[in-house]
Amino acid sequence: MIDYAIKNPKKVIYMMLAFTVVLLAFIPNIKIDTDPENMLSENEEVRIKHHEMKEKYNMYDMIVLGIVNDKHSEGVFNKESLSKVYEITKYIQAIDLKDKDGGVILEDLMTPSTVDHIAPSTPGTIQFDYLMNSAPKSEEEALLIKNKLMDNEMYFNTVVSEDGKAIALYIPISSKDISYNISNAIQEKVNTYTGDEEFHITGLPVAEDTFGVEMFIQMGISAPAAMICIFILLLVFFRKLKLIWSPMIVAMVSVLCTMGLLIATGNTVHIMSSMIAIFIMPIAVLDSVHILSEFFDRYQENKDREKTIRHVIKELYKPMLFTSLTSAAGFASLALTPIPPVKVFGIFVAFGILLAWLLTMTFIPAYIMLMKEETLADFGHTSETQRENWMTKFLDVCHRLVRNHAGKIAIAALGILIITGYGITKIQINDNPVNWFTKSHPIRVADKALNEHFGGTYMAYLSIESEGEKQPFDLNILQKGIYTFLNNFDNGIDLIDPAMKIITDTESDPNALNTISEKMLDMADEAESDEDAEIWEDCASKVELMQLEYNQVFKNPKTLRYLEGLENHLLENGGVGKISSLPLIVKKIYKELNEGSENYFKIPGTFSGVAQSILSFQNSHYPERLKHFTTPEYDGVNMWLQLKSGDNKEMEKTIAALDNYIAANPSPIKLKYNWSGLTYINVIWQQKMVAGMLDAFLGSFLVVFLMMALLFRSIKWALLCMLPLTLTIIAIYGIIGWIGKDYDMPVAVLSSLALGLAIDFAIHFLVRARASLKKNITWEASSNYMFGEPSRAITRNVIVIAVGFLPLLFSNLIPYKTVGALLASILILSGITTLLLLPALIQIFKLKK
Amino acid sequence: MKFLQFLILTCTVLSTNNVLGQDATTIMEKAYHVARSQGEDQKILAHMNIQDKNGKTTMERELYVLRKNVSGSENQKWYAYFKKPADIRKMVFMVWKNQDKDDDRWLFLPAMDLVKRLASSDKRSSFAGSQFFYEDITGRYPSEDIHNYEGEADGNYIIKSSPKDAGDVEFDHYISHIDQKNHLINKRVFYNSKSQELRVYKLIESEKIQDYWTYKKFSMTDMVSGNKTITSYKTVAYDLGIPDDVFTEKSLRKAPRKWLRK
Repeated sequence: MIDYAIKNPKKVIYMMLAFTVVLLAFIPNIKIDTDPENMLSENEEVRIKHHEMKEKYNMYDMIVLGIVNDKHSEGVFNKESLSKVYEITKYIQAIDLKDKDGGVILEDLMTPSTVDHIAPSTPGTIQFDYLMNSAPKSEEEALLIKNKLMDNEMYFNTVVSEDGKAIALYIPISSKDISYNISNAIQEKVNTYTGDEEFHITGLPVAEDTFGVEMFIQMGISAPAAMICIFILLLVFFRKLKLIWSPMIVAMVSVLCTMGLLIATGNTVHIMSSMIAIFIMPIAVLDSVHILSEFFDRYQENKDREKTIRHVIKELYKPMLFTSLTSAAGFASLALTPIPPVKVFGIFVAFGILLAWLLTMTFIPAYIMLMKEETLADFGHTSETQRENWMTKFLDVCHRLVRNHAGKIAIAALGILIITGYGITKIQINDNPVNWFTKSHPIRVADKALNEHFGGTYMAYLSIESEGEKQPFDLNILQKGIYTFLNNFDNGIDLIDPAMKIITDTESDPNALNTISEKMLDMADEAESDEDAEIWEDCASKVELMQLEYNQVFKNPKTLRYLEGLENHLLENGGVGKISSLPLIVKKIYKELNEGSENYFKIPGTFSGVAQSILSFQNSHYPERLKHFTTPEYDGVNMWLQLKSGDNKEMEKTIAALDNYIAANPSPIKLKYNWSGLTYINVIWQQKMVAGMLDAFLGSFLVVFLMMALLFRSIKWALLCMLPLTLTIIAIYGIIGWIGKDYDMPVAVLSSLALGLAIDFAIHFLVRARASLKKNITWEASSNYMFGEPSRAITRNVIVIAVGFLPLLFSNLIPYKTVGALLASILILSGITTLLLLPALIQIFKLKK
Repeated sequence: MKFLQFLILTCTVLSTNNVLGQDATTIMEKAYHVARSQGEDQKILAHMNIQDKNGKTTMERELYVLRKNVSGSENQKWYAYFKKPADIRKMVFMVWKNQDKDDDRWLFLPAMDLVKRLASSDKRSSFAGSQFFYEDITGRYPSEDIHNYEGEADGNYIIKSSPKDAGDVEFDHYISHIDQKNHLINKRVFYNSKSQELRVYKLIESEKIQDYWTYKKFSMTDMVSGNKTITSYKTVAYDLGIPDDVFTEKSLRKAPRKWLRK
């Protein structure tokens, strides 16, 4: 193959071009997917449940627009600011995304002008009024609106902030993928205002969608910037513009072909796969740098490019094949994770790496063959001169260190291993999509400002259903009850016999209660006197209520009080700032029906009391909003939790608080609980990912070790080769644990990158060390050679890649920064370990070939 | 000559407009009469079926509605008694409908033994969770709106009505299709200021009872949420001689049983 490339360089290049063009043709079909929910497979139970619950309780993802005024003493509750709030609401109601389906869910818009004020307007009355029917005409009116909001438990800490200074508008949208468009439309409106108000747009869908959009912008900046950096560095090292185009072409072609294939195979470009380019590039350049480095150092020996390239490839073939295979294996192992985008990512990066290897083996020799001998005339080392003196000096220092202090190096490595190993136990697994943005990003700023003022802008939902196992009614008890009831009335005694007959007649009727009550209502219609009619109706009510209490468990005061206790527990012990629910609505209405007295802010004592409070709520302008909190059958309820932070930790704390409450407080009826909402889904996919990553990592660690055993045909050498990688990974994750950085998605994915990259230097070093040991017999002599050209190639690679990824540090998105910083750390650490620890150990244990 | 022709034409157009303009109000008054005030009094057993946007029944209610005209005025008294479901049974909604001042409205909640006066401002909030507003139950006086004759279609007068006090209502205008034969309102659509449909009312079934054309089944759909209420009258009777004391605060707690049976 290599021989063919050297002999037919043009053909090889044409073939590569044709291959690239074919795959490039697919790129216009690109389908972008920014939905982090797709981190989970569509069939994943939590996702199915989430959608079921959304459907069942008519819930939508929400954008939150917060309006804060820190200049005015009453915050936003002044004529000017509230007029803007009123106007923006009107504007939001009219947003029309012409080129997109869906939009704002108007009937569920929660703003001061689209909610009801429910209160006794004068003693003995109850009033349902639009809370802010028009923009306030005076400062007094503005304060009145504030008081109405503050007094309403349903809006307090939701629409109005705890401190009474800020307002939040809750904007449900038909689907997550329009949140960026809607928030942009709102931003445009907001930008037209001057004044003291600050407007903050937030909410998880905005954060996630914005991240997706920014990610693609970053991809367009970071990846090319990295390329330019690598390019400049290669130029510094090899000083031959024409020659260094070749690794850049290898990298470009590998990236473009991989992306082309990804799209051609019908995969969407997701948050994960957008990083493919950035992962392939350093690895693709790596092999070429080894070849060029060797070529650079050797060319001047015989000034024959064909001879030199053949020699170089002969020497590097094995380590390059194995480094590529190990890197590919590291990424391919991601296919074992349960997360579809990570699978796709792993498989395609692995493909890209193997493609890069193939190109390095064919294209680079072909490219060199096509260059004129004259252009290469001044290429490479003529003597140890010029700028690279510092590298030689550095390697000399390393060499001396190893020769004189091998033991100390080994002890130091062991020390690092222990200290950082302990750090791993301190790792905090946590993620928060909002923290993917830098602190100064408007989304982070909005997040901070709003969560300071309000109950929280992260939504989670807890739905609770009764596990009502149907048991037959005891008709005897019913008979006794009706008997006692009728016995209370003079007229009732005569009705006992017909009533008992109605009940006994239905003995085998599965729908007995219904039949009985219908018959009793008929008796009421046919009764001789009005008194009898009323008694029959009351009898029917007793029977029907038995049925209702049995079916509509969430109108039962006992159940509601249990939920009330649960809510209080979550507010105290979870990460929750506010809970909106059926019990809250019932309590609020019951209070207002009783002259707004705080003593009545409680669940009414009877089933009918609850039912009539609910019906009173339904007399408002927005009766249908009840559907978010209960099923029409009252056999399931849904709580809307506002979490102070999108940190998975907070959600996990809340889940634990629920479990504790259930364990400590037996419920009056059997209930089953189900979490949903984006904040919850994030927790689930992250848990899966962390577990999946660990499996994948351990799996590929084993595979890589077996490969090494095969490569070296020696367990001893294979173990040695695994050392730099093991040390690097333990050290990196240990440091992450020590400095308290959250173990999040990019950090997790990097373990496989670390595996693939960190072993490369060790392979190169050990393969060549062994080869030279065979020739030189003594390590003394070998080490002189090893700290020459082979170490220079390794050092060059460390610098090229580490520095090449510095542009990522300037990204707006934290995951990119993390990748940049960790990549550099991995390379530097594994490079140093390879250059110091490996020779030190070879020396200490006097290893031979 | 040409001038004369023009003059005649102009006069004809103006007078037609004028006549029809008056007609529109007259038609609406007739329609109001058929819908709300035929006979001296009326007793209805109504069934409400409230559906979500998928057509699934979410709530059902059954209530007796008693209505009596106050002689010598357009005023009326209404008494609505909830019969089903059992957990709201005995709830009563009572209205004294006054043409010259705000209506008096009461709600009785038996479970809490509470009589609440309802503020007059929320006439246009939901009636017991349905898509009908309180005002839809007792009827909106034609004098509260300005009516314009828009033409006719399929045997209906088409009339556009705009509120005299726009701040009082959530709609901008509504368009009614009124049957030319019997003045039943076959369809009525409420619009916002951008002419988007807010609520749509449709007559489904009517019947002549005791010589009065009577609504038997009709629906109201909220076009924003898609929810819909279908009301069917199970029984209707006119001129029963319902006494005045049925419509008093006393009978909120003590239901006038005689009038709340089949």
